[in-house]
Amino acid sequence: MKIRLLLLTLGWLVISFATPALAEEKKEVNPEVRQQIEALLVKGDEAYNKHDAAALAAGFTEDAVFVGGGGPGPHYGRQAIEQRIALDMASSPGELSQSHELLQVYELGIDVCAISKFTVGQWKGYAVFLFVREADGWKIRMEYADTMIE
Amino acid sequence: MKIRFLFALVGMAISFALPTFAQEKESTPSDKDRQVSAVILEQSAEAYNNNDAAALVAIFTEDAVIVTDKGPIYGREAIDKMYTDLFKRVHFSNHLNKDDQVSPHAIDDQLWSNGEWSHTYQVKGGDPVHQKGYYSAIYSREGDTWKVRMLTWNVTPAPPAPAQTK
Repeated sequence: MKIRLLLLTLGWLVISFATPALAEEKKEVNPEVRQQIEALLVKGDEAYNKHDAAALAAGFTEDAVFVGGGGPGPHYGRQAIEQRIALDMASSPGELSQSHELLQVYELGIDVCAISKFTVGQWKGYAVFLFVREADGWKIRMEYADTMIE
Repeated sequence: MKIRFLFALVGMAISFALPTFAQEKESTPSDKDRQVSAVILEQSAEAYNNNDAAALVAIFTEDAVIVTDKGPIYGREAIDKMYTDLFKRVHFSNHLNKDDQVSPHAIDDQLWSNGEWSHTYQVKGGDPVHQKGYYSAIYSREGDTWKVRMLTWNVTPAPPAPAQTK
C-alpha cells in the first residue's frame, strides 16, 4: 500500500515537473534557427548604425509590411519601407545606436515569429517580426515596432 | 525621333505595369480567411464594449503573447490578469477594429493581419478620451476554433492642442 502511494506520488511529481518543460519546448524553434534570426537582427542594427537604409531594407520581402513606433500607419512594400528608414536616419544625422535583444522565436508552420527588445538612442521598445524563408534566406514579411521614451 | 518617342512610350508602359505586378504579388485574402478574422475582431470589439475580460481572454490561445510597449505578456492566464485589472480601472466604449484591405494573410495553417483600431476610454472620475492606432495579429487554430496567438498594437499620438489666443 505504501509502495503504491509512493509510486503514485513520484509519478505525479514527475508529470507535473515535466509538463511545463514540454510546453516551453513547444514554444521555441531549434537553436540553429534562433541563431540565424539573432544574426539577422545584428546585421540590421549594423546597417541602421551605418545609415545604410538600402542594406536594412534588403532584409525585408518585396511585399513586407512595416509599422514603426510613434503612431504612423503601416508602410507597404520594400520601397516604401526603405524611404521611411531613410527619413528616420535623415532626422538623426549624428551617430546612431540601435540594438536588438532577441526575447523569443517560435514556429508558425514553416515561418517564424520573433519578439525582441530594442533601444534606439533615448528610445526603447519591443518589436514583433514575422520571418519567411526566401531563396537567399530569412526575410522580414512583417515588422511591428512600438517605442516609448526611456 | 519617332523611334525615341516609341521607346519613351514603352518605358511608360513598363512603369505603369510594374505597380500592377507588385499588386498581383500580394494575394487577395479568401472570403473564408476574411470571415475568420472578422469573427475574432467582432468578438474582441464586443468584449471591449462590454468591459468583459473573460470574453476577451477567451479569444486568445493558451500560449498567446501580447506585445505591449512595456514588454510581452505570455500566456492566457497573464493576459486574463492584465485585462481584468484594466477593466476594473478603465471603461471602454465604441471599440472598433478593421483589417486593412490586404489582410488577413495565410501563413501555412495560420493567418496574420494588420489593421486599425479605435475606441473611447474613461478612467473613473476622468473625461472620455478618444484613442486610435494600428494592430497586428496572428491567428492559430485551437481545436476547431480560430484564436489569437499574437497581438501587438501602437497608439497614434494625439495631435498637439491648438495654441490658445487671448
